[in-house]
Amino acid sequence: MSGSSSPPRLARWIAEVSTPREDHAQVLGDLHERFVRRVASRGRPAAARWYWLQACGLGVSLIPRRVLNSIPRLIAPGTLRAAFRALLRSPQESGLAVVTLGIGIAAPTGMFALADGTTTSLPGDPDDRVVSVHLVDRAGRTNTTIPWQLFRVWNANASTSNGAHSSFGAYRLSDRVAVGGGDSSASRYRGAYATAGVFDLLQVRPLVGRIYPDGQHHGGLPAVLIREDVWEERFDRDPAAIGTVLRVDGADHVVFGVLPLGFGFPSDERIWIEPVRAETESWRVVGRLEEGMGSAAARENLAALLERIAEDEQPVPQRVELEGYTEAYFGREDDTARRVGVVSLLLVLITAANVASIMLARGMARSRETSTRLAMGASRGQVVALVLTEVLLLAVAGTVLGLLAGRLALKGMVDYLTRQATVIPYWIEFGLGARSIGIAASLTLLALLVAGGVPAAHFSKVHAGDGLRPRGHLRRERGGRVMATVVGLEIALSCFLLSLSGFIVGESTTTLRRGASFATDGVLTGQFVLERADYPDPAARRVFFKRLSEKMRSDPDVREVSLASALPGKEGMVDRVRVANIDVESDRPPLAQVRMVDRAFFRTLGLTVAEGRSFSSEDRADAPPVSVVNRAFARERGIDGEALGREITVGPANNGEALEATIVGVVDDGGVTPYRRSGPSPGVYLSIAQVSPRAAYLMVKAEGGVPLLQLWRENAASIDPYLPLGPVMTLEESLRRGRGAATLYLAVFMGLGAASLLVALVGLYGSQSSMLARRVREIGVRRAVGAGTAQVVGQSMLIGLRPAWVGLAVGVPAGILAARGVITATPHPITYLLPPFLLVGASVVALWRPARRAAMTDPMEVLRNG
Amino acid sequence: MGRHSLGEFEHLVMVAVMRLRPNAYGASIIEEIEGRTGRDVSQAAAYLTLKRLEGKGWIQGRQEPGDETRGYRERRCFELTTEGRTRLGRSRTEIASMWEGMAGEFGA
Repeated sequence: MSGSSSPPRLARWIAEVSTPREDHAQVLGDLHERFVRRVASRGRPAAARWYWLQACGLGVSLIPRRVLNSIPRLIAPGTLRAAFRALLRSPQESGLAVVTLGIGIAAPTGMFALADGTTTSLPGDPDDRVVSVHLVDRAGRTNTTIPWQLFRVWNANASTSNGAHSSFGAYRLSDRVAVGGGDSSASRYRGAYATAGVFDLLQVRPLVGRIYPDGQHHGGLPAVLIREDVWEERFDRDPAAIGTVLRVDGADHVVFGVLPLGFGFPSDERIWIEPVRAETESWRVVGRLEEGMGSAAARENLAALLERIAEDEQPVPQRVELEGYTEAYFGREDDTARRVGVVSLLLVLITAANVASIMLARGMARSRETSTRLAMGASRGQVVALVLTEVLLLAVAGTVLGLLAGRLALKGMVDYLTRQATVIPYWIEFGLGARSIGIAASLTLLALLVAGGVPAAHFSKVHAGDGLRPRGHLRRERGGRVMATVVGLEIALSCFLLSLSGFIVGESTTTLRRGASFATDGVLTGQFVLERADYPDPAARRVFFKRLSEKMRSDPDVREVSLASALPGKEGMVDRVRVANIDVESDRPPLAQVRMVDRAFFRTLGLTVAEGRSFSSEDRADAPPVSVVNRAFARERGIDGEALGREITVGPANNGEALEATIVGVVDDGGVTPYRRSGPSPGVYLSIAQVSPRAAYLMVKAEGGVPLLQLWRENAASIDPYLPLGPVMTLEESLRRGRGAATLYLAVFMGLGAASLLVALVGLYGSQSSMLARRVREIGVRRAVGAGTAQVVGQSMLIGLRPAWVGLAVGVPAGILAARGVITATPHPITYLLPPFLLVGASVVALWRPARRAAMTDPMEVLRNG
Repeated sequence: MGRHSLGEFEHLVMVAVMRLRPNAYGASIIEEIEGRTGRDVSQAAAYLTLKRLEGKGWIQGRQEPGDETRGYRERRCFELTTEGRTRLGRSRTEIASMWEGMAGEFGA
C-alpha cells in the first residue's frame, strides 16, 4: 500500500485505542475504505482532515464510555467505598475541591463552546470549499468588493477553462430591505442582492417555487426569494405566494421561491433580490472550489486562473486572494478567541494546582493513617489507588457541576447577544455539543493528572514506621515544601491571570465609558431609508425630510426635531478629509467620521459650539458648502483655535466625487462614535440641507407623556404610505444595543478574573487550614510560654501569606508583561495596583479563620496529649 | 426514547440495512444514508447505533472477509432480524399515519 493512501498514523492510533479490540476490524476497515475513496475524490489533505475528524469523534464518543465501563474492573469495590468515606469525612474540603473544579471546567467549556460555534462550516460544505474572493492591490490593501464586469468575466471563463468546474456567485448586502404589498403591511427584513450562482454553489433548494435564473431570462419584473419565516409571516405558508408582487426596496418584484428557514446567506438574511442595475455597484464574490482536488491545490489553481483573467480586464494588476467563507466572515485579525483560550487554559491549570494542594494538605493531615495502612500490610499501589480514586470521584462530581454551570453560562451569553440584536449567522448553533464535552473531558483529564499526580507521588514515599511512632516524633515533616511550591505556583498563576484580565477589563471599561458625552434624555430615534426608485435625487430626499421635520415640529409638545445621517455614539461613514494647506504632503490624508446633520442636531444633544457657528437656514443646497468640525479634529490636524474659515475636502467617495466645504464652526467632541481606544474620534459635520443621504435618523425630543410613536407613524404615513417604519427606540436604548458585544467581552473577562481569584483563595484557605492544623503542637507550646492570641494570629497569617508574596512577585510582573502585548491603550494606574491589592486583601480574609482557630489552641490540652 | 422505540437515526440505519442486503456493512450504510439524505454521518454515530441495534436484537451481524480497499480487514455485514423487521414496519406505519392527509402542507 502506498504511503499516500494510508490514513494519518496518529489519527489511526486514536481510532484504534478508542474502539474495543473486538471491533477493530469493523471500524478501522470502514474508515480505511472511506478514506481511500476520499483520497481519490477530494485529494489526500482533505481526506486526512476528514480521517482526523472521524478519529477524534470516535475518541470523544467512545473513550469516556470505555473508561466508565472499566472503572469497576480497575478499582476494587473496597477502594471505591474507602475513597467515598474519606471524602465524606472532610466534607468542607471535598466540597471546596468540587466547586473549584466546577468553576475551572465551566468557564473554559462555555467559552470554548462559544468560540467553537464560530468555526462551524457552512451546511453542506464540510471541507470549506466555499471561498470569498478578494483583490489585493500593489500596496497590499485588500478589497473585498469586486466590480461587476470582472465578476461576469470570471463567471463566464473560470467555470470552463482548465477543466475546472468552480462556480461563482455575487452578492451585495442591502440595508434592511423594506417590503410592502402582499396581504401584510410594510415591514423591513435583513436582505441581500444575490445572483443565482450564490444559491447554486451553496446547494440550497427552494421549499416551493424556484430560484430565479441568472441574467434576467425570465422577463418582466425582477425576482425575489423569501425565507420560510417571511413566507409564514406574510403569506401564512400559502403556496400561492409564488408569483405575487411585492414592493421591495422601492420597486415591484415578483416572488419566485421560498428558501428554507435554515438558510440565511450571507449572515442571517430573510430576503434575496435579483440584481438588476448591477454594473454601477461593487459586489462581494464567493466561489466553490472544484471537487476532486485537494482544497489547497484547488485554491491555488483558481487564484492563478482568476488573476490571469483579471489582468486582461483591469489596467492595474492586482493579486487575487481566496479565503474560506466562514474564516473571512469572522476576520483573521480578531484575537478575542485566542485571548479567551489562553485565559481559560490558565484557569484550568490554577484549578488543577488548587485541587492538588487541597489533596496534598488532606493527605498530610492523614499521613498517620496512611503509614498505619502501610504497616498493616497495604501495598503502596493500594495507597496510591485510594488517592487517585478520591481525585477521580472529585473530578467526576466537578465535571458534572462544570458542565451544568457551563451550559447555563453559555445560554446566558447567547441570550444576551440575541437581546442586544447581534446577528448570529445562520450556520452557527451554539451549544454544548460532543466537541465541547470532549474539551471538558480533556480539561478534567489534565486536572486529574496534575491534581492526582502530585499527592500520589508524595504518598508513595510515606514510611510504614511513621504511623507507629508517638505523635510529635515523625521522622520529618513530609510534603510541606511540595505543598508550598504548589500553592505558590497557584497564586502566581492567579496573579498573572488577574493582572491580565484586569488590564483587558480596564481597557474595555475605558472604551465603554467614553460613551454618551451628550444629552440622551427623552430623545426618541428611528431610521428612514429612502429607496432609490422613489427618491432618485437629493432634492426629492430633501423634500421628504423637510416635510417630516415640519410635521413633527408642529406638535406643541415636541421640543426639538433633528436629522442626522448616523446616530451620535454609533458607527457612521468614515472618509478621508484633507485640510487645505495642512495635509498637502500626504496622498492619503487621515480619516475622520463624516456626518450629515441639520441645524437642530447640536442643540438636541446639548453639544456646545465652541467657536464660530452651527448650521443655519442660510446653508441651503444652492449656497457654498459649509462644515462644522469637532475639537478632536481640530486638535489632530493642528488647527486648534484657527480652524474657522479653512477649506476641507471630503472624499472622494465611491462615485469618485469629492466634496469641498468651508469650516464655519467647532463643536464639542462626543457627537460621533466614542469607541476609539486612544481618545475621542475626529469628526466632520456637513449640512444635511446641502448633502442629502439616502438614509437618515430622525431624533425627536418631547415633553413626557406624548404618544410620540403614534405621532411619528401618522406623520410618516401621511407623506409616504409605502415607506416602512424601522424600529423606533430611545437614543439610550440604541446606544446600549451598540455596546452589546463590547459589554459581553468585558463581562467574560471580569468573570474569568473573578473565577481565578475565587479559585486561588479557596486553594489558599484549604491548604493553610491544613498546615496550621498540623502545627497545633508548636502553637500550643508557644501559647504555654506566654504568646498572646494577637501574636499567634499575626505570625500564622505571616506564614500563610508567604506563598502569596512569592506569587505576587512572579505573577504580577508576568501579567503586566503579557498584557502589554495584548492591549493597545495606556492602562489606568489603578489597573497596576488593583490585582495585588485584591489578592492580598482576599488572602488575609481567607487566612483569618484558620489563624484564629489556631490561636484558640488550649496549651494544656496540647501538652497533655503530646 | 425507551428500549423498544426506534429513534430517527436508528430508523434510517435500519432502512439502509434493508436496502443494502446482503451487503450492508458500516461504510456502505453510512454512504447510503449520506447519499440519500445529504446529511453527514460520522463513523462514531454509525458504529454506536449499529452496536445498540445489535444489542436490542433488531439486527444481527456476521463477519465477512475484507479486501484491499479496507486493508484486508474483515467487514461486519448486518441484516434485520424478524423482530427488527416488525419494529421497523411499525415505526413506518406510525410515521405514515401521522402524515396522513397533510401532503399539501409543503406544497407537494
